[in-house]
This record gives sequence, C-alpha cells and structure tokens, in this order.
Amino acid sequence: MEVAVRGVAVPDSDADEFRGWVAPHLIAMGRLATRLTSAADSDDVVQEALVRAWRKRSKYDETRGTAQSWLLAIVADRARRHRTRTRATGELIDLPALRPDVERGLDLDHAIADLPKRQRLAVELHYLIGLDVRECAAVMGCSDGTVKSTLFDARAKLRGVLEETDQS
Amino acid sequence: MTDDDIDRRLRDHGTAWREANHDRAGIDWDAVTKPTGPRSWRALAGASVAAVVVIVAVVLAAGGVFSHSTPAANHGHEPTAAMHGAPLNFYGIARRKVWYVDFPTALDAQSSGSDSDRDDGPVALGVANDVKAGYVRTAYAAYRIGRCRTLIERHHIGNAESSVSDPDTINGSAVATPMAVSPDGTKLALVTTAPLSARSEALGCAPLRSGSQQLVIINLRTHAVRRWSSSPNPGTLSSLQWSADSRHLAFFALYRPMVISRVQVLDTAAPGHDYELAKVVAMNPTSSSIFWWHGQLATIYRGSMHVVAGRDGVGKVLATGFPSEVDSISSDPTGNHLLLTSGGTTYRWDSGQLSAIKGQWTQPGW
Repeated sequence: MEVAVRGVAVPDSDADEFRGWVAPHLIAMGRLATRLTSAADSDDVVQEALVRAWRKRSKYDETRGTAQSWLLAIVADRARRHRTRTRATGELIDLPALRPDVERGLDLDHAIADLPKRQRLAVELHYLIGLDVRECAAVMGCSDGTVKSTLFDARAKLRGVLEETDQS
Repeated sequence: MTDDDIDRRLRDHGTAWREANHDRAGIDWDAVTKPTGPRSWRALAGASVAAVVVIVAVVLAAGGVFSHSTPAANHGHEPTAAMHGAPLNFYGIARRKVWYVDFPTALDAQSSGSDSDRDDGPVALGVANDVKAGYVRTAYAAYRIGRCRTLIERHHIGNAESSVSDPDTINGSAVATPMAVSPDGTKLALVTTAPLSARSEALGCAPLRSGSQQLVIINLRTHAVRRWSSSPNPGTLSSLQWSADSRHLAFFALYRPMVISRVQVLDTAAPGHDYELAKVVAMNPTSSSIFWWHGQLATIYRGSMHVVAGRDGVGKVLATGFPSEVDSISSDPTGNHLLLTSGGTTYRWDSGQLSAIKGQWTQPGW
C-alpha cells in the first residue's frame, strides 16, 4: 500500500522543492500511468502530468485531499487524454501459447481493461496502485460510498467475465 | 466464484504487479519546471532525478581490462559484388570452443579456426564487426571462473592472437549467457548473475538479491565498468542488442514471479556512475529474440518479422520467409543481414534471401 503524504503544502515556485514534493509519489504515478496507458507511454504521461502539476501547483488545496491523490488525479486525466489522441496502429498478431499462470494474469488484466471507465479506474487505483477507499475517492472526485459501490459493480462484472474465461 | 474470491484474486494480482513494477518514471525536470522551454523528454529519458536508487561507482584500477593488448588486424578479405555490404564471416560457439567461420554460404563454411585453448567451454560470445570491410574484427568469449568470477578472452582475426582479462574485472558475479559488442567496438555488454544471496557472502560474491541479474557495460577504451541491475526483481536478461549508433542497448527481461516480460532500452550515454534506468519500450512481446531493424526493435515470430517497438505500429509485418521458430538472432549494424538459429540449424538472411549454414552453432554473431 502506498503511503500518502498528508498536509504537505506545495512549495512556492521553487523547482527543487517541487521535485522533493512529488518524488515520494513518482512510483505510484508511474504505476497508474502504466496501468491506464502502456509501459511505453507511461513516462510521457507522467511527464505531462508533472508539467500540469507544476503549472497548477498554486491550486492544490491540502484540505481536499493528499498530495498523492491530487497528483494521481492529474495522471488519470492525462492518461485519458493520451489514450484519445493515440490510436493503435499496425496489425494484430497472434500470441503464443502461455503458461497457465501467465494466462490467468493476462485474463485478469484484459478483463480489467474492458471495464467501464470509472470501474476500471477504481479497480486500478484500489487493487493495482494500492490506494485505500478514501484515497480512491479523492482521486476520483467522489464519495467513499461511491467508490465502494463502483468497486462492487466492477467485481461483479469481473466475476462474470472470469467465470466464462475459466470455463473455456 | 464469490465476491471475496474476486477480491482476493485482485489483491494478489495487484501485489504481484506492484512487486514486478517497482520502477520510478524517469523525469526530465527541466521540461517540468520550465514548461516554456523546449521539450526534450525522449532524448533525455535516461537523465532522471537521482532520488531513489543508490548509485555505486565501479571504476577499474589502472592497468585496464586486459593483461596485454594487440592491435586489431585486417583479415584481408574484400566483399564480393554479390554480397556487397554483407558480412563475410562470423564467430560462433561449437563443440565447447570458439570458432571463426570464413565465408559462410548456403552450402559451405569454408574454414574455421581461432578456437580457445581453454578446457572449459565459453559461456558467452560477442563479436565486433568491421562494417566497411565486411569481416569480423574481434571476438570476445567469456568463461566462468568459479561461482562468481568471469574471465574474458579476446580473439583477433588475422594474427590469431588472444588476450585475457583480469578475472576480477567483473568480480562478484559470474557471467551468464548473453554478451554483445557495440558496433563501433568500444563497448562490451554482458549479463552476470550471482548465486542465491544466502550463499553469496560465503562465496565472496556480490550481494545481489536472489535471482536478480545485472548488465555490465565495459568501455573497452577507458576500461570503465558500469552496471544496471534487475534487482530487486528476480529476472532473466537476454537478447542484448546494440543500436547502430552504439549508444542504446536493448534487451529482453523476464521478471518473476508474475512472469512479466519487457523489452527495455538502456541509454549508455546517461550520466552517473552506474545506470539507474532502462526504459521499458514494450511489454510481453511474442518472442524473446529481439533485434534492431533500421532503428526500430523487431522480432521474428511464426516466420514473420514484426515490429516490437518503433515508428511503425507494434505487430506490423516487416518481412516474411523465416523459420517458424527462432531461438536467437544477430543483426549486422546495417540491419540488412541476420544470423539466426532455429531448431539447431543456423541461417543467414541477406536482404530477403535465407540460406542455411553448415555446423551446429550457438550464439553466432557478425
């Protein structure tokens, strides 16, 4: 579980302090960017998110959430924009036969990727990035209860997909 | 399957995924804190903030890597018109020895020689090719000395001389299979591994975490050694491939326990002592044998050459007519000629023409 740094004010226009302020959250930002786009694009997404955070740093309100949730919300937004302007090119190719445990993990990843956007974001934040429900709510801009119900709906949807996959 | 089952499965998946994806994004801070300036993220991808990883400096003592050196010799061959631009010969390992093979064509490998006089067989082989003249200039063979020392033997074409490195050059870990010389002949990349950490200290080996491997880059001019480690992830590194400009080293990494594979690229010009980052450019490629193809990374899968990462779309078919299963590939710096092994047979591919080479070779390279 990632540890959020609470109550840390954004330093005032000091690049070095800004670096120190975001450094504890870079791993989580990189992970979320990877989950929401791809490993190849994640660095660019994080970079864009940090540029955005730097420009908007004066708007950060520590009373509304942790630094990590604020930064992750920016990453999620940048990843969404990145996906819409980057379209897949090239031909699809068949995957080779994989070991059962690898297939199992890929099945789960594919199922997560096919979830509706909000459900996917909730699953990625809670299970993959390791945020608790409150932190997820801060990133998603909703209540704790909404996050819980979104996660419940996502698990129900995943259950249906995975049961079908496991049987096949 | 209950809601709790799904919850547990997701938690396990997330834990394993985080374990396997510990990387911190490399950040070009100038582009962040000076957004009005030019964005040079890709060019500076390797130049990130040194905030997480401890950098260890390993610089060799005076005296250099090799106990003695001899000048590179010209073999004297000139490429024929029919094979213009194609390497004329290669190095390979066969019968536990290093062999130099002259004029490998579809039907014949004309001559061989320059084998090592060591009793134990080489573990890894790398060759430095003279692109202009089309011949192999130098070959490097690595041998394990005990559990965690490595000796590198250098073979020169033409004068048949050899020289050996100080086994302590790469102390603390033993060489694993892959090794590759940069096209300009100035850098040698190899993979080393160490016994399980529980026994490492007793054996005098490097304290690598169990199962992790490290890339070792030796500058053959300055004798400086720089490293990049897969630690803390247990991982297997393979298919080392230098870019044509001898700056970037691509490799295939298989990380456990989730068996996540990545194609990563190390920028050897990145500042610092040891390397901190190796950029991930592709996840779970269809084959572990990658190579540079005119500036983009490709692999051969089911008889076709596909893009793994690069300007063309991932999966795009670049060429066909290869064996269906390819074990290893060596590309010459021009990208027009390949050496590949498949099912115990070695082939060369010259701009669309595939021909088999006699002999049982492992790690053949131009």
